[in-house]
Amino acid sequence: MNLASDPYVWVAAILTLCVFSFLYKDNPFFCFAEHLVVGLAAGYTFCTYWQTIFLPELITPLWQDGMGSHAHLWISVVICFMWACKYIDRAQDLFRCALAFWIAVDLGLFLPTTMSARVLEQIAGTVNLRLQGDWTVILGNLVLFVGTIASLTYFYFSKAHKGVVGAAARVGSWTIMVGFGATFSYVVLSRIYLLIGRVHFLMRDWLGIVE
Amino acid sequence: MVTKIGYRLPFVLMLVFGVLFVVQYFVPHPAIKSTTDGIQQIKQPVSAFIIFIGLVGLLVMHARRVKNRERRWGYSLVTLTSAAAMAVVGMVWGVDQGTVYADWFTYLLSPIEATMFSLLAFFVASAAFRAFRARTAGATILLVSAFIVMFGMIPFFEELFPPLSKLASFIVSYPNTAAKRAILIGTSLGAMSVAIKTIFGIDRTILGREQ
Repeated sequence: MNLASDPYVWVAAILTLCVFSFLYKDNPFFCFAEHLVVGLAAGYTFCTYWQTIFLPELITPLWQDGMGSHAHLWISVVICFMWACKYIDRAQDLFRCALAFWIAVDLGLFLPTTMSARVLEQIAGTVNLRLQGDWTVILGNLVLFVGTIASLTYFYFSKAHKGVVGAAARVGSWTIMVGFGATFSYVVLSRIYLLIGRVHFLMRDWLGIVE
Repeated sequence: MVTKIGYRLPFVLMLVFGVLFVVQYFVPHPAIKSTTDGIQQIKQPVSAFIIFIGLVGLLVMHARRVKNRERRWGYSLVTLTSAAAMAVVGMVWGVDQGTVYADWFTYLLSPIEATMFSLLAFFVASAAFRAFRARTAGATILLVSAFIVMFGMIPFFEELFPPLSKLASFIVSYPNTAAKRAILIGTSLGAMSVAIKTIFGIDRTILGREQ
């Protein structure tokens, strides 16, 4: 056993144990770690956004050349003030205008890119069947084609799920169940890998039991 | 307090900017491109400011708890103190690698977050034990798929029984993709219809009711 001498490792190990204590029941150690992480994450987010976006893209350009090539950034300042009006009851109109501008720009960007990447490209990837090469690839592509059509049929509610539509919807629901099973296993495995990582940290970095 | 103009103006803004950003995707005219690029440049620092507003809301809530000596106010003090400490450390010494800020991220924030997510391994396992019952065909398929993918991804079983690993990667590559693709197409079409209704002011719930 070779205990760590770095105080940071001790702090990290103690906080890890504080969080693991929740497995017994909710307790003050876990609550402390929980509130600590919220505060640290808030401070971390503030600093990251300040140092990487707000300072280099607004404050510094305005400070250097606020009346010249960066004059348009004063509009950002005005919009920031309009957002801050969220907390002023008499200035809710300004806040709503800033919110509307924000939503409109995001939705305007979202619509064509979603149509292209998430609908048309997905449909193209499904119907462009590649029936060449290894038999597993051919079988897989057929499964992909039939599975996607059947799963879409399962979500189609304008026609009763009877006859051919009903059969396709049933195959679709089975395909979706296979997908959910695979997704579930991925979630479980990722959590177990994290757990192994934390136990490994405690045993190697803190206690020095394993190499 | 929202006035009549304050209620209607945001919808006009939403229509104008929403349509402008949809049009810029299809019309590569330099005038439209420079306008939308300028708007996106203006929007970038505002995104950071919106995060700051959210953080202020969080800190105000905790400060109120401390001020009123509400139940568990001590934990709120932990949140406030840690947020302030992290922010000061980041603002004074910077956010680059090798700074105190980076050390706090590595040894305080990361261990707690990783351990909290790793806790889910226990809860997911216990939930699965209770929920996974092969009662119907769909539930049986989900169960079988989950087990094949889970064991197929573990190196020990990969060595012990190689076809299991191949079957797991087949499930992940084809039926899983088919299900995800159908869900993606369906949700995207739904989100697009909501976006269109919002831009054209058909769905007005996003900005609240007229007063």
